[in-house]
Amino acid sequence: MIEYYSAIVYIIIFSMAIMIIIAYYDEILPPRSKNGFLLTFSLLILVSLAEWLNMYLENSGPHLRRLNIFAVYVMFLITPLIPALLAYSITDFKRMKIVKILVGYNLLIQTLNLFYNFLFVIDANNRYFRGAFYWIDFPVSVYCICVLFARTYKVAKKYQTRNTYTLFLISSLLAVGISFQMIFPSIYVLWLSSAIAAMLIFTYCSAVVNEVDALTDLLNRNSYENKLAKCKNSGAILFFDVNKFKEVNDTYGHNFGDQCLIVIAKTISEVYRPYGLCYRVGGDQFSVILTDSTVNIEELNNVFKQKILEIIQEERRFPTVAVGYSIITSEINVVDAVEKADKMMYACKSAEYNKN
Amino acid sequence: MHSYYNAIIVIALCSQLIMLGFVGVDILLPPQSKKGFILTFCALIIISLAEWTSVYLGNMVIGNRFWQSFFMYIVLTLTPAIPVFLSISILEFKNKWFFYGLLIISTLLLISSAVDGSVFYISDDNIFVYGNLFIIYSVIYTTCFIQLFYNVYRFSKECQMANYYVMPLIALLGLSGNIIQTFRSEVLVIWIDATIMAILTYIYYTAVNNQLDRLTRTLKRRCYENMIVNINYDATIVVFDINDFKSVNDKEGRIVGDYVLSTIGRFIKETYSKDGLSYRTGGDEFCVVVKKNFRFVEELNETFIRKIEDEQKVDERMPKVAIGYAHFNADKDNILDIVEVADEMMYKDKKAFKLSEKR
Repeated sequence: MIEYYSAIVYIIIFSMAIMIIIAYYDEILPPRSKNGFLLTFSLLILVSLAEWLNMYLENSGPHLRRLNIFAVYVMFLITPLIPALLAYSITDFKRMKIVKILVGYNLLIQTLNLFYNFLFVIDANNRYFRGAFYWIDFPVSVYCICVLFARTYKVAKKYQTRNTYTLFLISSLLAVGISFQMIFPSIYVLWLSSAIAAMLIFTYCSAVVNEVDALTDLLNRNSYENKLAKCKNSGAILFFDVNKFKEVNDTYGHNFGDQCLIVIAKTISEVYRPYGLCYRVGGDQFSVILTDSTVNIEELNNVFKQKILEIIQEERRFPTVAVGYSIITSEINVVDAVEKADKMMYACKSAEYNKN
Repeated sequence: MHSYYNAIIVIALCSQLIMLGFVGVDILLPPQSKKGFILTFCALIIISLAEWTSVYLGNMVIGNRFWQSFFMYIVLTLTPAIPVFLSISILEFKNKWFFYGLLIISTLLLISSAVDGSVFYISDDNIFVYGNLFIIYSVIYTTCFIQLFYNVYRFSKECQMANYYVMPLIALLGLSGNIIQTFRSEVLVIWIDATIMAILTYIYYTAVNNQLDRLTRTLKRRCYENMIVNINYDATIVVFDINDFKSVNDKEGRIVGDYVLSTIGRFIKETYSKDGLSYRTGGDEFCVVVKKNFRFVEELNETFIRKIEDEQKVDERMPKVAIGYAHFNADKDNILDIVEVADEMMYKDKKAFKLSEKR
């Protein structure tokens, strides 16, 4: 058993070391994510080493008792940190403070335990026993895991990347590891499953960065082109262009311009997201590809224009948006549809300019 | 022990399935790699299930030797396929058919072994016995693994990543599962190990792919920007701009334009990649950061210009490339100033070219 377990620990440590190198040289992830992942991978190495030490020393006699206590102490300190750090790497979140407090509380009780043995005891024979209050550190880990699951759910909903369900699958992998640990405490696979989950979450995050526009959180141009190549005979395509965006940018500054783009992207997402995918295809150009061709596009466009008008009433400097669309059928292929939608959008734009 | 093995297999299967989903929806992966990775993970799923079934049958009181060997045969048949599939995923290679042939030979070998036990058989008291042809099987398997290492080496060399040594490390991790299995056959970690190796290969491959420009295989602008922020060593910055690229594009069409870009990208990489990193910084602009002194870089530039001239003799559509360079001293210079100096020199070169064109 210990042989088998050692082989697994070796594999975990080796693969986490490789992940540290990969994450360290990654130039695409935002620094916050990158640091979060680097810490997670390092802690996974530490925690599996600590667990291994504890296993190895079990029943080994009194002389290494102190080392064993230290290993268990490190293990319990790190356990809640892993889900918390993974959540932190995925997105920013507000409950970070609670997590910090809980981690501090965990540090406190684990350290106190070194003197009073109320959480766990390592006896003279180097065997591990639970203390009388072994459950008082549970809320910390449970809360951190809940935060991780909640974050995953949020992110999966926020980004429209097609692999949203993979995030759920990754969490379920983690859930498998945790349930094994709960149901069969003698089977040590929690860190193996956590290590693989951490690797997969890392991959997911870099995929998101590659497919999503950083400013507006809509899908980026790359994803748009890939999606367009796959469109066949059904659905519809819409184009949006911000009117006189350059003037807005020059008159009121880049910050205001960026803010406008964010608000427009949000509005587009609110209106069209239930029926299709939304993209930012250029500086001030957006596009929506509807997969569902039964929707009344005119109606949606009216809702969208209404929303923009409401924003303009509140903020006079806000620009208007030109819209054009075309449906894709067996007669009108994608290339024609793109052209048609583009023309209609420009017609809309020049009408707007003539008005002024 | 047995329950531990079950848990490991469950985790391996979960991760293999998730990876199949991941690879399936990855739109940035080239088709060849996608195929390779999907094959790898499918093979891993089948192997894990077959191995588990075989082990399970072997542990039953009334063993069913026939089915136990049957599933073991499935495992051994697919085993050499894993390094081959992974090789396909990371790099196209020419002697692919040779390896498909090897896979077929090993399959035939195993089928014949089912009759006379020439590769292996499981004795009545549940012992795995090697036959005298097992050596041939091992040779085939080792050859496939060597090909994987070779491909890994070529890929690392081509992609000019700072962490080029990661891929060999990943292959080493895969090898260590084999070594453990060889010396301690009861420690069944080879497939979880192979799964992790495949996942890491995928992660590294996508990371590299996302940093490279598709057309020219040089580093993307984003990497260039990061480099500008972080550079802390003495280097020579060389900037390139293709003369009249627009007219090539307009006259000859986009396809020729792309061909010109990829050729120039290749020349730049061939010339400078030993001593520095090359980036594509704009549509027809490139930049190289060479960790060597001025004199040496001038030599390299000459080699590069000669290469372009040689190409122009063969292919008249090939445009000239304007070059500018400047030395960056990490202790006192500001990198942006240095880039500007190099840019100015490049523009002078460009102007001189335009003047000579007019005459």
